[in-house]
Amino acid sequence: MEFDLENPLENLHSDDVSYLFLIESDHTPSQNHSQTLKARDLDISVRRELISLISQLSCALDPVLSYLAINYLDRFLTNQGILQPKPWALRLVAVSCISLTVKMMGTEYPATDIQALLNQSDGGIIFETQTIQRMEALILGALQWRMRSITPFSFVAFFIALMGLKESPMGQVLKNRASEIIFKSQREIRLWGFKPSIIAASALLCASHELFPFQYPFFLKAISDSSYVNKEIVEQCYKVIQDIAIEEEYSSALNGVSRSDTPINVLDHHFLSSESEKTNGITVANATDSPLGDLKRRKITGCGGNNPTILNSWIQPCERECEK
Amino acid sequence: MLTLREKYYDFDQISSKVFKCRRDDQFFTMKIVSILNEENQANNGVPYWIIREISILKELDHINIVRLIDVMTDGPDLFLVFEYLDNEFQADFLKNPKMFMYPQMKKEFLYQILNTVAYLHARKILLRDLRPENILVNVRTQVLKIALFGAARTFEAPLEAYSSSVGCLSYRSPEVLFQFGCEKYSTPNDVWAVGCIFGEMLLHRPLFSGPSDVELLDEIFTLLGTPTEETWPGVTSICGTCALMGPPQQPKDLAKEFPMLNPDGLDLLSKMLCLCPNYRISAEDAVKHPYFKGV
Repeated sequence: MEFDLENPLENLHSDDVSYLFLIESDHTPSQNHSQTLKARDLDISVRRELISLISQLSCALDPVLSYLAINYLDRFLTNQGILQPKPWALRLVAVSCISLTVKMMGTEYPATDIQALLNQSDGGIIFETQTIQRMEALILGALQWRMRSITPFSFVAFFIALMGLKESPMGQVLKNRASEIIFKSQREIRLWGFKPSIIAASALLCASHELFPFQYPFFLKAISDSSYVNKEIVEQCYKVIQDIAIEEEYSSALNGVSRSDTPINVLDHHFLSSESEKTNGITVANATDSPLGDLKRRKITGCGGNNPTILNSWIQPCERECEK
Repeated sequence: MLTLREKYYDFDQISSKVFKCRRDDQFFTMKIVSILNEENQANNGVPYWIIREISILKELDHINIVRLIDVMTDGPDLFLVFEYLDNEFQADFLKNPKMFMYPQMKKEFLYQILNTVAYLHARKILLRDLRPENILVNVRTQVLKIALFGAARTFEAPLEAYSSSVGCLSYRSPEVLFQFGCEKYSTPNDVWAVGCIFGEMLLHRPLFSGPSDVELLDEIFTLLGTPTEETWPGVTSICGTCALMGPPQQPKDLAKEFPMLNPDGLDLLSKMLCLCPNYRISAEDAVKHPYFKGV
């Protein structure tokens, strides 16, 4: 009974795909909660903090692992929210999400490695067995013990078959690029309201538009004709993902420039970041005004090392290592 | 969130760790599982095998599977809340005397078992331990329920460490028996178990009942013949030593062993009890077998 993100329920028959579409909402932060969450600025910043923690703690492991851990986190936040965003509580949530993920993914990693990782001296916090168990039980309960998450990865193969690319080199290239897009867009709060199947379809369309622009209209029609997806919603999601991809490229370029870490560049970054977030309908407190500002600065470190710098800069090296 | 005792009440003990309880007008069966022990201490937190098994049970929705309704935690204990099966559901269905009064009922129940196995196999979920003790039947409504995993068997040991016992051996396939403790289960093993249950329905006694692997294999080969490279390609590399095979035996005539069975039934039984796992009929194909015409 191994667990695989592409086959969370291990469906073997094509007609069982309808079951995945039927229940995927049960494994996804819902639209309503997304709207509610937008009214809670603190939760958005807490989510960002937690994602950074999870990425940091799990960057030495399979990137699929951090993806599932963040999925658990999002579903947990949907149900519970974070009542007390204290440093130790945030770290405990992150550690517990990773621990649950490792348990679901199997035993690829020796227990000692996981143990050492989870008890990193960074932050000086070591959790007792009972503490982790209580947090794990809390998260499991919030997720109703449905840990075989349905994610966009569950639908990629289905849509590739719809596009007529099953078991073809072109299909594999598209799948790889779409998977990369899905990984990178997970941290975006703007995607919370979309179902995994919609995200999968949109990521594939972005990948095909990018890699095979002349075939794109054909692929768009193949996916739009499917009775399993709503064309308008796919268009909305496609735009969001495209925006994320554009911002990703811009952010990479900006990070290159900001390596000098001069005060001017730091200020520019804050300004641009703040403006960008506002234009997308989300108002997030500026870092310098946030009650968590100091917390963020203290907690930002490179993967395994002490490397203070602005947030976006240290994420890149970590991501690169994760993808190796 | 409501606590355990706020949500459920009127507890009535059924066995040491199983209770009947109520919420509003509905009854449930609650099973207590302890998640703290020496082994688990080293793991930190909720054991992985519990998380995996429960996450599977939570996704299953089938009329012939006892449903897991709710999971609650209270300190070191886990409380699994299952649908309640009233007294009309008899456990260990082959001990129910009414089973043998109506031949059509056997076919109906066999069909339900195979339908459930096919449903699970379509999701790559293995039963591994299918046996009459885990099957409950309501003879009046002719509905059968399989109690998976924790509902019938304790969670106290992970599946990987499942220990052998006399009762369980009777429904193990030859390819599993050959592996002596290095048990690599797969879907054909479940189908073999159904075949044994089918035979037991007909004979009113277990088809194979040897107390050890060797004796069980001997009983199997006495009925079905000793496997050869022709009937089971690769069998010599699987069984390891010739001692397990015993002296060559010819298969018996199933028609004489099961005189009450019609030709379609004999065909289905022989395909479920095919020695070679690769040639054994799948549950998906078995439910479409002509024997079930009219069910």
